Amino acid sequence: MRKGIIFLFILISGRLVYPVEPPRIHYEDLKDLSISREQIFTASELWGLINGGADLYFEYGFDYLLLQEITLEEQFFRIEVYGMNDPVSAFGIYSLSVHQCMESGRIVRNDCLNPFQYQMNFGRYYVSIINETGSEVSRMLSSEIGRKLLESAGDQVQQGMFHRSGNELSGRLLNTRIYKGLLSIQNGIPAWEPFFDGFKDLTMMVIEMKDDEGILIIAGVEFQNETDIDLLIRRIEGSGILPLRQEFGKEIMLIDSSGYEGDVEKILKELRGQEPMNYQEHL
Amino acid sequence: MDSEIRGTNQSRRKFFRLIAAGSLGAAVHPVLASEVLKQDPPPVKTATNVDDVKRYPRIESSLPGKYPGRVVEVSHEKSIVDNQPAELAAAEMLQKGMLTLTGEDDIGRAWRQFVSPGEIIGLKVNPIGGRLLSTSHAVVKSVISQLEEAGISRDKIVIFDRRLKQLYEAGFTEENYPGIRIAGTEHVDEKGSYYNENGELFSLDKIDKNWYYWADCEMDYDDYTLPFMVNKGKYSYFSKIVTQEVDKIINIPIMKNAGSSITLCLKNLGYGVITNTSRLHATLWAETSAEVCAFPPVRDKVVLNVADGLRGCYDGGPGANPQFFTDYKTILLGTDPVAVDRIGFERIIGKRIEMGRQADFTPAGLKQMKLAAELDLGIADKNQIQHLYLQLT
Repeated sequence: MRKGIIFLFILISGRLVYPVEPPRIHYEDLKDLSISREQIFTASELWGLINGGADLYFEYGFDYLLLQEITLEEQFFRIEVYGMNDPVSAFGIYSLSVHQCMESGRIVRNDCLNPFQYQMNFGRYYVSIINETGSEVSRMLSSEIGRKLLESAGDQVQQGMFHRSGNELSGRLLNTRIYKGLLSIQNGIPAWEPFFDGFKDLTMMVIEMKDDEGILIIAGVEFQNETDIDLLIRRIEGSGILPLRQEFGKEIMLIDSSGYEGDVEKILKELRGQEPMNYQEHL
Repeated sequence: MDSEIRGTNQSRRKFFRLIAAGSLGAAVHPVLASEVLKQDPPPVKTATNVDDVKRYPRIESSLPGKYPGRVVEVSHEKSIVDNQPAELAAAEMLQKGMLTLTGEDDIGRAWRQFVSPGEIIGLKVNPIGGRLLSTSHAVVKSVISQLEEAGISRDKIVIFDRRLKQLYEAGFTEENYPGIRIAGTEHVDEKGSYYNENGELFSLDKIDKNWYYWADCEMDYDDYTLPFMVNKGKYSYFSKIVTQEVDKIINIPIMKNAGSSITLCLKNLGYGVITNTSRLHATLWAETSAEVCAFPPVRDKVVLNVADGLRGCYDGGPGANPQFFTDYKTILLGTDPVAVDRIGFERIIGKRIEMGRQADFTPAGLKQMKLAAELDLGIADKNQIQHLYLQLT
């Protein structure tokens, strides 16, 4: 990692292997298991399953969904393994899907436990395990299912996985999300929707930090052409969002300090000094 | 970008760069809009045939119905019991709400303001969330029970949606609703097939080509997806269920978000009664939700909206992501779908804000309501809505 000018990286492995066999639960994996449904949905088949909700997955880059419905120790679970096009897409949909986790980092670094749902992200997968009771037993079993899925993934777990590194702003990090288009922006940061309307093929990482001085939002946006950046700058004029741009290139940084009373520059220097937001390949 | 990610054996690649403040002087610089010459292109609206509705004069039952702008919100602390919607509480909520909405003191008379014995009554539910988060049986069974009190026999009631399979998955089956017809435009046979013995979609017999929503956009569908869309092209046909098979419609959506907007009365109707919908999401999401409701099969038949908010969600909608489920413990009632949506918007987006999913209400989230108001389907201005609130214990 080059120290200095760059404080936020996503480093992606070039050794991705697209598996023939997606991670799944097998009968021999768990005792008292029955599998009542197993179905793979590829490409636009997702519309058949979740109607317009599929569009968000398509925006991120959807490859397939393996859906399993199982009963384990008399408890019903719906397991959804989304194979996305790449780890960035998988982390993106995961980052948009998790919120206020009871616990995280249980089995993989990117996981999130809630009473009715356990979510994971590894490699190019986003996994959702839903139970119907919200009980402690269900939560425990959800984790066990997650563990088995990881085992099933085998080497794929190690391929292209990325996560946030530790020591992140001394606990002030509120969210880190990746957006891939307008739908995800509508969902995750709707106040910015008017700025991005009509743009195609953008990728944006947004970090939100919160401390006693308020909330500071920092975003890095990559476009496919520079004219989109020009338009964006024009649109955000007067919004309180500060654009910082390289002299050349298709990337721009946005800083929204409208909800922050503290010293923004100090935060940015702190970020740089600690290199706290590196996204690292997990090998 | 994907090609970079998928690139071959380069060990690590920068995908994305954000430059820190310490280097700003060298690498980046603040930008003023005045430095940017490029002008924002004017928005281009995709054309639709919404003006066709002007050919059909409004009738007495046309939306917004008997009580424009009136919304009754009924909350009940005991409407979720043992983590499930409770039918007993739902029935009480519905009854008190109906009496308040109509000003009647008899529940049968209250319902008969909207329906009459002998009419075929369609209940438009929303089963898209499957068994996890669809219109609750507690509310639907309460509606049916009170319709029966009003003299509507069960054989005159139809529970319907586009997707028969999803209705079944959500528990809307003949077994759970004896004597009541369960119908979907996207019909499947008992083997789960969408095709008849001649290889034709059953659904082609379920659509009425005399009624259509035309929009100047289209999308190709693969063989798997086509049964869920019924047809390709620029036409979305109305279901015969609404054009021919029912006399009145009671709309029973569930309180969900759709990004920073909502999917409630208008969306449940707009996307729930026509074919070929996927093409409409990208550029006409709000327009479709509003404009389809302006066509007579919807406009003149929907007599009541019962928005089920016992359990809903504030994020992840219209799908079902359990961590975003929330027990609103409420039902919104009204003949005016726009006004009901407007109050629902306050509740759902208010919850999103409370839970930190968005900072504030955004005007874009109101678009379908504003469009529907322009089509005289109801009242979108919150200040003009008569919002009546009942808290039950």
